[in-house]
Amino acid sequence: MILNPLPIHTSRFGGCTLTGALSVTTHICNTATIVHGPKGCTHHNFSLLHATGLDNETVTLPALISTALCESDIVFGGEGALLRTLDAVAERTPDAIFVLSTCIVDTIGDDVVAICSREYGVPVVIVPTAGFLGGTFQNGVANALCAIAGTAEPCPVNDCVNIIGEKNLEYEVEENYAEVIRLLDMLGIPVNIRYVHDITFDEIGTLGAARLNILREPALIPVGNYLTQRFGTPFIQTFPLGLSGTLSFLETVAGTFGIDSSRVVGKRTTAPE
Amino acid sequence: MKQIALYGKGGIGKSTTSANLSAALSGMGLDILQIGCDPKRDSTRMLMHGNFIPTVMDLVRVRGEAPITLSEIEFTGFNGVRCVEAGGPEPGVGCAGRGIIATFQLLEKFGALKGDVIVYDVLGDVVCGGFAMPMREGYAQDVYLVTSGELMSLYAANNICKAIQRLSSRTKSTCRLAGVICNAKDQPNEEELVAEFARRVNSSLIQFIPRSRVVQLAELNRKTVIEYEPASAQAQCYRNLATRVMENTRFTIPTPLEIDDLESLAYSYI
Repeated sequence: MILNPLPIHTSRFGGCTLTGALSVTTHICNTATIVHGPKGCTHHNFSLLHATGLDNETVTLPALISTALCESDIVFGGEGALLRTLDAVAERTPDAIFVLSTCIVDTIGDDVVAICSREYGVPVVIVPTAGFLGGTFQNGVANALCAIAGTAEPCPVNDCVNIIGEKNLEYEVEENYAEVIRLLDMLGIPVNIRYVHDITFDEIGTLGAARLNILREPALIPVGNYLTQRFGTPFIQTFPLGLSGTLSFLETVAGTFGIDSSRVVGKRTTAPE
Repeated sequence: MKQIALYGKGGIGKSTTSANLSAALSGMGLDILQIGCDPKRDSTRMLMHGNFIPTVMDLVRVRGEAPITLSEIEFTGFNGVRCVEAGGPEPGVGCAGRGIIATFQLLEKFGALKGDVIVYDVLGDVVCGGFAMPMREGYAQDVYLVTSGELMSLYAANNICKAIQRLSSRTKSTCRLAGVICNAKDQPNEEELVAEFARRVNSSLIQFIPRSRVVQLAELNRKTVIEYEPASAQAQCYRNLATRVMENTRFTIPTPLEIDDLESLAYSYI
């Protein structure tokens, strides 16, 4: 666990709503993401996701497809281009297709919902991502997490937790996750799913199975609230920061599961700072 | 080259007035181009003897990136008046305003914007930036408002004054309010009311066009009044308008009214 309370961001976190949503959808395996807009919106984000992957020493080729709108699509409406792109992508049978909007299609009022409501043989999930509506990268993350969670149904609850909203573009995703796992292991609590970090679309169906959701950071509270409303799952607002934060994290998690944390926490408090 | 644009509330008679104005101007021996800037594409119909001509946007839609030539979008109607319809998307989809911008860019590319007078007939209200295109730099310098004495029509005209005021205050802008045309609905005191409205928005009533049965008859015969009944008083009215448009030298930055002032103005002419 990093002890520096300032989160270490890559430079990506100030970006567009669209980028935020893509940082989520591109981490669901075997799915495709359609960006409904001019091709530049897709190109820039592809480059950014790829470059960020390289920064993190992984080679990512995100499955992005642009509807590549041109001027006549704007004048006559871009719904036909979206329909054609959905048909073409569905033919390649991904596990799911995410459809992300851009500024221009929300300006001209394309009926994305109507087009996506047709039958394509694979689940189609719409994530509203028009940046000009005042949203930020963080709104894009939240919109994607909530929209995709809408595909999961409530299910029986087990003794496990979900990790919610890992920052897939930050440098130390795995290190931060490993430390949270280490702490949870001390309490004997397993992780259900990392929502969303390199999971399959099928796994998302188990989203409601956790007894507790652990949010990456307080900015995700709206997502935590949505999941509570949908599945009844309570949440912890943030990954632990610092020693006292870690102690209260352990106590809160243990409390939720009815585990006595005193052995674990007691051992920690007597350790030298 | 003179470029004029007619704006006003939907259904107020802009297309009828524009077509008759173009016909009258052509009768003065001038080379006229009328451009309909409305997805409804019916601006030039009476000049084309009832035919809906293919629109610029129709061709763009069908051809995509393939080249379009001027002869495919410009058609010669009554007395040599050249007619172009911008066209646009089906109702309820896309962006008609962007269609107008695209049309202007194509017309520029073709060098189609030439002649003695270009008459732009623009959709009801200036609903977005695209429909203000004819008022922007290099296009129509003289904007005429078409209105009746009805409050809603004056309200629309007043709104358009706001757009002209905004555009004309830009440093390089040459767009000005050139006058108000009263297309009458047979209301009492209508001419006086519209003349006073024009004065209040810092302009003047350029022509009063009375309501006349001959306008409907001409339309049913798919002609402009100028062509259908050239000896009628109504045709003379359009010819007077044409003369005044050509002789007009009063171009102003309008001063739109507050809604309360507009209502009390209309009230005082009941």
